[in-house]
Amino acid sequence: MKEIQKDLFFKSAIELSRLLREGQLTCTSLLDAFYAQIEQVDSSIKAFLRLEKNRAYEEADTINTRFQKGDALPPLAGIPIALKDNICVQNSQTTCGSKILENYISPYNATLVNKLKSHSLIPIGKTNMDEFAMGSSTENSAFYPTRNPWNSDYVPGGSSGGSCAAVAIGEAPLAIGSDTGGSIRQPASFCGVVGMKPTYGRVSRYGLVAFASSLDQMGPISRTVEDTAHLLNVICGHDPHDSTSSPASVPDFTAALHRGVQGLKIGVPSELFNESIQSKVKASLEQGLNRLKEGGATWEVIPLPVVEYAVPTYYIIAPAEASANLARFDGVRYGYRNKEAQTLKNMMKQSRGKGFGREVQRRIILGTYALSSGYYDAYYLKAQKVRTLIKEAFQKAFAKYDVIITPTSPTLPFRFGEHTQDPLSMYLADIATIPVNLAGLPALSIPCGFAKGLPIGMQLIGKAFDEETLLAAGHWFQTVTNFHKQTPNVISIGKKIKHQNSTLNK
Amino acid sequence: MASVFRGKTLWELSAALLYYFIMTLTQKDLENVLELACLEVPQQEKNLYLDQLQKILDDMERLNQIDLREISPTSYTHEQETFLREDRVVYPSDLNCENNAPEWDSGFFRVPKILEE
Repeated sequence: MKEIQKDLFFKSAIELSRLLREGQLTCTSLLDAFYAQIEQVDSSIKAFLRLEKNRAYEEADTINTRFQKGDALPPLAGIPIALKDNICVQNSQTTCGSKILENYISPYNATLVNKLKSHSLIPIGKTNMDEFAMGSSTENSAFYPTRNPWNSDYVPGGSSGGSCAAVAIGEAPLAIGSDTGGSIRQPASFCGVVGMKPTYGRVSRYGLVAFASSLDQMGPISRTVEDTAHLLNVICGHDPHDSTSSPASVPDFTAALHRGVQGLKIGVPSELFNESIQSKVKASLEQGLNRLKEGGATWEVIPLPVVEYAVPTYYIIAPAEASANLARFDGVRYGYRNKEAQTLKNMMKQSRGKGFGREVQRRIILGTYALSSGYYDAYYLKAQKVRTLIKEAFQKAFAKYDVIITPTSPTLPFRFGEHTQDPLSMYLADIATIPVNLAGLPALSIPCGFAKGLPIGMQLIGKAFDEETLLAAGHWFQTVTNFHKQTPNVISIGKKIKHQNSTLNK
Repeated sequence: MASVFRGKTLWELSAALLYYFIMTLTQKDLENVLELACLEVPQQEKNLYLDQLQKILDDMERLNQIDLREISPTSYTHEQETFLREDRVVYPSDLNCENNAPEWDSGFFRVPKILEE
């Protein structure tokens, strides 16, 4: 058993599943191993906000019994999974990384959580995030920042930084994140793991704490594209509890994995493949594209000028929706209340003033302003019109190409504090991921290189409801490259961290 | 400064001037928005936000470069029919109100006084 445990943390979920089925492992021993890894490294990385050990072991016992009885169990049965802390789990804390929800206990399960349970996956804990999923570095968590497992001086990306860091450092083989403007793909890129935002409507948003309802979508984080396909099979599907949930039929995503890339037509937007992209990122992307070419794909640079307008469009629409969604946090029914206030109105104002962090307040102000009388046409309506153009530009491109490929992030991971004083510079770093949410498309980020010891991600964007083409291309890429097999040096992290903790706290 | 206006038509100059007045976030605007958003923040934060938000709003000016007269707005990317679900009774006791409420009293949320004197 000890031999297996040594490299257990970095195995794919499907490999672990095989070990469970062969009886080389039990669900309980698997949990023991991952909780031991969390014990060893999480004080350094801070990927988790909370662990759910008791429940996890109870579920492991049940699944063990079913394995022993010889029941036919789903492919990911018994596999531990980490959940971002904006996903509701019944009778469990859901904080959204915010002081305002610090003590909130969810009364119900998200549809996604019910689906995980019905497929016998085991949630092991909740991961850190930028408050209310607003941020690209996990520095906006009200509790503590998460560190990049590849180099703890750097951010893990965000907002699903905890989920991506947890998978990267081997604390969990799978995780769930949420993606409103890149919050699964960008941290997946920064942490060297696979992250996917499915087509808008594929995964029910019921039980995901709302940030921007027309953009939010949950998705899988894993080490391999094969695991992503298996997890998509679990979490996708129509849900009457979410009025935007798509009734489109859900294919077996794993069936597409071995299609290869022969004949695949790839478009690369020139606006995301020019001097504005860090040279090492661009070079890795180009190598990745040429690798796909060796497999029979063709790629060419295409104009997609409207993507340059995506960031200002997004930063009108998302805060506008957020300002409405976050109006419910008023200190009356749940969440933080400033108990010193003497009147109801002051209580609400002060609870929101003290309960929300700076980035959340900035976006509420921005969104309220954009929706306020006299400014609606100048901002919100205009942004909705540009959204139409972005959607149409992608439709036009997909008439000719099967996949659009870009870097997931225009830069390598950045250092702590690099963008915190200038929010606009942080927003502009989302230029490659934001257009995808505005157009409601699926996109996959996979590791495609390293520079200065930090991972680089390649983003594959697909037609609406065509996740399969992305999975086929991503899986083929992982069969001919080893980027996803690289692992961070766990031992060196612990040594560095004592010094860094004291620096960060200052 | 003069170079900014060089080569612009009267229409472009008027539009730029109008934009300046509409899109400049003043202290009064911020106070109004804070009231609408039901947020109380210290003055120091207000100054910081004013500066940061103006930079963000200035970046949004880029959208004025696009001719949007003939374009219809998009709220949701995938149009689909609405659907209904079966009715199910949910009782207050199912919602964990008692434990989540900051103050709970005999089946009600308790709040400070509503009418100011």
